This record gives sequence, structure tokens and C-alpha cells, in this order.
Amino acid sequence: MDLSLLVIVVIVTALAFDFTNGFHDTANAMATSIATGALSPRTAVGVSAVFNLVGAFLSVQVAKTISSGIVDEAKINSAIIFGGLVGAIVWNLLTWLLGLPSSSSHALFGGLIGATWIAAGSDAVHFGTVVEKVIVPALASPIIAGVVATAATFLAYKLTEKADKTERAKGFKAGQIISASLVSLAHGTNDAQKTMGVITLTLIAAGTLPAGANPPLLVILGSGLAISLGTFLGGWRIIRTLGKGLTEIETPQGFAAEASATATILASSSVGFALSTTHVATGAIIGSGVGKRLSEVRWGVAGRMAVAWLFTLPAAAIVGAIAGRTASLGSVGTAIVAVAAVAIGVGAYLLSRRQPVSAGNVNEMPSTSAPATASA
Amino acid sequence: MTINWGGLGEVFIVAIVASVLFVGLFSVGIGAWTRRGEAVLNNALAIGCFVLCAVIVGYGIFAIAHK
Repeated sequence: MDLSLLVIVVIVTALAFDFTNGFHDTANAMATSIATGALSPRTAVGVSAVFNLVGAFLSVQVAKTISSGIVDEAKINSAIIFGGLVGAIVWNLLTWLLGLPSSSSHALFGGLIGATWIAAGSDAVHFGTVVEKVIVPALASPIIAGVVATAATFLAYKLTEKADKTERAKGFKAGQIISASLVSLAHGTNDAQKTMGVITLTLIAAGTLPAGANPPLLVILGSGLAISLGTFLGGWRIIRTLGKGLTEIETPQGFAAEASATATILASSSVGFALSTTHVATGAIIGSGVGKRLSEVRWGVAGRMAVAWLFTLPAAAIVGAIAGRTASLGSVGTAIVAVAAVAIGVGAYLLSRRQPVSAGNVNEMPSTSAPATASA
Repeated sequence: MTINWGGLGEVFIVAIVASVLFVGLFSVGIGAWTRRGEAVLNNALAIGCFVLCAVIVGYGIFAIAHK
């Protein structure tokens, strides 16, 4: 097996992206369970990590394309993929630092679009497909999940209004363990696939694997472990925003939100209309706030998330373009990008230590009176 | 560029029917469970609801594995 330096760098970077994908998205599955106390923070991320790993092995469908047709894959090479991955990682780290949930798929698409555009021209980017597969689902998914969760939450309270409140809370708490696990499983089958697809296609492009090959076991294992390790470390900042920032969540709401998110994700993947887990989960949590009488949704926080979603693709595209262009210069360029990416990662970690959010304080909002500051 | 409005509508309908059914059944189950001492029927109703929920979860896992 003869792997060039660039191919090795791309594989390592893909696993790093997978890792950020894991800790960025733990919140989607576990935020409401942690907020309601259905699962302790440590248990929650542990359960989610296991289900993500299981999910990586469970799905038989393999990502056959890196970009879902958003860019012309005949025109992309290892340097472009590397640039795209770096763009996605940088954006994931930045939004994590701000405690904002944002779609890891959008970040990856954005990075690839930017890197491809600069290296192969705007013709290589299929803008029609971008609208169809990225913009429309991004607008539709929070609305769909929100309406579904509103109906489910309303029903959950309506049907149990005569029940003893403590007993009811206990019942839904138990239900939440199951519903949260299902979200994690659905996430693992979706997101670990992306990284497997990237690595496999890179190996095919390098001639190591024959065209059309399925991912080798080592690639499946590596991707599954990277995403579940990321999940296990817990993106506590984003968990806090989703679990505590949007609305006060009780167990019936958490259960309804998670059940709605799972149903929406599964419905979308079986119909072939891919929706982002992040957008669905966030929409469902907002819906669970709308569906309960007299509960307050902090629309300011929701608005900040919407802005982050809007910027995800273009911002990752700009970083991806710069990184892809530099990496195309050869080994020196690749090394410069790799060093810069590691420096940004270390910088983000150090900045996060100033206001650490951990398993211990994830359920404490620093100050509810000032939601506009990015302190979460 | 074509926008798959039909697919979008289908996702919405499947998602809302499945969620309302699942959450509805579970809620009826919880409601009955909290009154399980009052009548044997409540007990049976609760268990029936939870079993149906388990079937839906099982189908969900099957759908995840086979998509």
C-alpha cells in the first residue's frame, strides 16, 4: 500500500472532522435529556457515544458521493477535499466556542464548495443543487420538526392532564432514555457515513481501492470511533444552549421533542429528502416550547442560531477556498494549512477554558438576563 | 433546479403521523399507569400502550438499519 503524504493528511483530517462532528452534535440527541435530568450528563454522552458507534456499523448504505452532487466530483482532488475538511473543522470549532448548534453537513458542503470553486472554477459548483439540497431543506427542516413537536407536546400534556404530576414526570423520564437513544442511533448511521465516504473516495482516487469499493472495516471502525469519541467528550457548550437556552424543558416536552426529531429524521432519510440532524433537533426543541401552554421560547437565542446557520456554508466556503488553494501548492502548502488548522484548534480550546462548560455546570445558565452575549 | 415539494410534504405527513401516534400512545399509557390502582382496566390499557410503543420503536430501529 503506497499512500502519499497528502492522502494520509486527508484521512487524518477527515477523522478530525468526524470528531468535531461528534461533539458538535451530542446536543441534538442528549440536550433535553440532560436538561430534564432523565440522564446524568456523563451517562448521557456515554449512551450517545455507544449508539453512535453502533450506528456506524448498522447502516448498509454507504455514502457513495462526498458532496451529493453539489460539486463536480470529477474535478476535485485530495488537496480540494483537504481544504474543504479544514474549512468545515474551523467553522465547527468556532460555532462550538460560541455554543451554537450548526449543521456539520453544511460546514462540509461549504468547505468543499469554496475549495472546488477556487481550484476548479465556478462551473464545477452546481448552484442549482446547492439550493435544492442545502438551502430548501435548511429552511424546511426546523419548520417541519417544529410543527411536529408542537403537536406531539400539546398531545402529551392534553392526554395526561389528569395524571399525578410527579408520576407523569417519572414516566416521561423513562421514555426519554429510549427516545434519546434513538436519536443517537439515527445520528450515528447518518453522520459517521459522511466521513467513511470521504476517506473511501480519497483512497479510490489514490488508487489504493478499486472504483466503487465499499469502505474497508478499518475505515468503518476508525470513523465510528472518531465520532463516538467526539460524542463522549461532549459538546457541553452546545448542550447547554439547546437544553437550557431555548426554553425551560420538562420531561413530556423532552420526550415529545426527541420522538419528533427521530420520526422526522427517519421519514426524511426513507423518502430521500436529506435533512440536517441539527436543524431538525433544534426545531423540535423550539416546537416543544410552543406546544406547552404558558411556556416561554427565547426567540432571541433561536434567532442567533438562525444567523449561524445562514453563515455556515459561506463561512466554511471561504476558509475551504483559502485552505484548498494553499494545499494545492504542494507539500509545503499542505503543511502550512495543517499547522494553521492545528493552531486554530488549540486556540479554540484555550479560549474555551476562559469560560469552561463541563458536565458539572452544563445545566446552569450563566445569566438569563443577557442572552445576547455569546457566553454559553 | 427542481424542488421536491412532494417529498417535503411526504416527510411532513409521515413524521407528524408517526410522532403523534407514538407520543399519543405513550401519553395514554402514562395516564393510565398513574391510575393503575383504581381499576384493573387501567393496568391493562397502560401495558397495551407500552407494548405498541415498543413495536413502533422496533420498527424505528429496523428503519434505521435498513435505510
